[in-house]
Amino acid sequence: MLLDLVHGFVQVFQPFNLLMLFVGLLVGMAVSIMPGLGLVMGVVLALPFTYQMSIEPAIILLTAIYFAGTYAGCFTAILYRIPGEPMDVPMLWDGYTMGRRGSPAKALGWALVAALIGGLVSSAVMVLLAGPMSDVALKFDSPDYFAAVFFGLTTVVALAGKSMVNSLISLCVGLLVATVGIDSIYGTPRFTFGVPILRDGVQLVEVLVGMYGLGEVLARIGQGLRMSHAESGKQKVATHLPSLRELVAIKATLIRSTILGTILGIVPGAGATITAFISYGIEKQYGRRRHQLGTGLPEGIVAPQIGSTASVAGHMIPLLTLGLPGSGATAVILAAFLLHGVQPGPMLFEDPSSLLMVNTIFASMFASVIGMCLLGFLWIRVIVKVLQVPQGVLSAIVVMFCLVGAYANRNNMSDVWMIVIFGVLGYLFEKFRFPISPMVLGAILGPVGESAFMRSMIGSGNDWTVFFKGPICGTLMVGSLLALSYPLLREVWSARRRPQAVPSPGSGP
Amino acid sequence: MARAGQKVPGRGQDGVELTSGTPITPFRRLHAALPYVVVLAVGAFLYHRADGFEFEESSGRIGPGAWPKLILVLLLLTALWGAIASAMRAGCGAIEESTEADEALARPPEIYPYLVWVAVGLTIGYLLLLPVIGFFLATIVFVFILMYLGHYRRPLPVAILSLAVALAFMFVFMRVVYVSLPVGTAPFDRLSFALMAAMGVH
Repeated sequence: MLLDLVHGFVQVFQPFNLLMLFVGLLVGMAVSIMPGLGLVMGVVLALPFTYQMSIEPAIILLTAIYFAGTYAGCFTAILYRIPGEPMDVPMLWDGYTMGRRGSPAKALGWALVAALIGGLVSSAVMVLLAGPMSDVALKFDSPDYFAAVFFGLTTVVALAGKSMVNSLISLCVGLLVATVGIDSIYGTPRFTFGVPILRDGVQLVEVLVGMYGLGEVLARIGQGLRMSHAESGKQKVATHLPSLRELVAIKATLIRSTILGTILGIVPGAGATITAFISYGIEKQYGRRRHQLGTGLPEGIVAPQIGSTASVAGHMIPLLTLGLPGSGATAVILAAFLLHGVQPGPMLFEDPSSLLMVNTIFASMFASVIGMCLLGFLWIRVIVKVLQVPQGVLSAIVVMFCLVGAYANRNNMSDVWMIVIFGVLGYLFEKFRFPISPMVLGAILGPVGESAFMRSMIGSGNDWTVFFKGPICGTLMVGSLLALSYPLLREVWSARRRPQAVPSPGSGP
Repeated sequence: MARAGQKVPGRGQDGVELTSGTPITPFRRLHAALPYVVVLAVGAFLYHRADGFEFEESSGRIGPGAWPKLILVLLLLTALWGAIASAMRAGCGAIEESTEADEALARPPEIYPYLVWVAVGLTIGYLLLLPVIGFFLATIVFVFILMYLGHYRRPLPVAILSLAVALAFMFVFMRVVYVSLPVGTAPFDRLSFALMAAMGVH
């Protein structure tokens, strides 16, 4: 196996393959930093360029974009509170907070190390377990799938901080936004109010860019675009990598998140976003310093970053062994395979020539992780310099990226109008202290959850106990209910102990 | 515990400073519960709509409204809980204190709320102007005013930056990403086409 991997590395270091790796990393970082583009769009935009290539550089290019895209979004999340991707949302709570406390370089250093560890370890695990793990993923049916999504949603409660009510309302709004459009089972228009553009549903990019991008800029304009000391960008900023001692101090988080990211990545649909949220949620519930999470702890940066990067390798397992894409990006990679006349699946591992291709892809993943971290190290320095740009100028550029990025998605002005609507909604959420993240999470996971819910209910004759009958879904559902009840009981207990205390209606971390 | 009419110090949910001279009134209770009341009203309206989704019923199968209604029930219950709790808190004189771990984490207060709505109006105006005068000219004007609103008020740098932003976005999105940005109507489209030709966009 090791020798096969070495052969793969030899292929990766062929000049053209190496060039594609480098280009892929740069493109992945660029698109994940720009709000409104994102790594899936980056992979889609790169797809036409692979038509004239052979299969190896094509897949290397797309995989490199995918890997780098899971990492570089942390820059804008930590520095500007604008997540390039949904998976970067958890990075806001501790990453951005650590930045505001005056240590943005340290926060970026933690994210870099997390991406490196998560990427390398999960890639190694993928190489070792590609075959056996595919059997586990195959056993997931609709109730298990719904239970996995439900578990992801309940973690939002753990993130609610002091106001579970506001967090739940925010989550429900997100889930409702996801129901807008034509129902996929019955073809019924829902909440479209006769507006044609709503029949296609609300695009995720509109919610994300509107709520976080434009909404944040509007809120900042209301605050006079004042900058804290950490945001001034005038202080000398260097990249601060954590020491070995600091890493050892959070070894439990490192191990937990890497295992979680790799395993969840195997589940189709449970992508980098779910993994990042769950990793953070698990840390929030079981971490040694869980009560301080959200105040700028390294655990809050490391857990989601490891989770999202580790999930990429996890995604590649069902893609390569079963031909099942587990995310939007892997769906595009699958398309690239098919365009080159290659059908991913178990037979790839049987044929020696295709086995070399598989090992080249495996090797390219290790190279991508190391390469993106090296580039990230340099990129961070450039990004930090952007802090010196006046906030008025930066805000105008961010707004332009939001508006034009949304337009670029479908070349449709209606999408831009939706951005404005969600921007105002995001501003109102901020103003009245409803956390935005649960809303975004609900909008992301809503369609997946509804689809699994409907299939399970229809398949079981409306028997809701179906979600508790299977060993996988039963365990996940019980875990979800426990996760849901724990903060509630904690809140009630705290209120009883402090009758005069004042609960905050404010947002979560 | 404070009673109605009693005066308490602190800050209300809306961010309004409550001094020792601020009385607790029914209005303040309603004000505290207002966001939740709005959510309740919107939720009830949407539930009514979800109840009326048309579909071909087949025996025993749940319809397209089942999932939204499930969410709406949760939303309504939560909003009701929030409304009652916030009104009671306001009635008890329980006012919000700074619960942030330290000052660095506290969001700055909103000092220019009107500027937010000016920015929203400006953005709407920009979107309305785009199809008429084209991306290039509309963006120059929009970015110029937006930077001015953002308290960056050095005319020459702002003008140069506005021009640079418009050109850079045109080049990246039209030349590199192949996005068809609005060119405007005559006579403004001539300028757009001239710039596109200069950039090699066909």
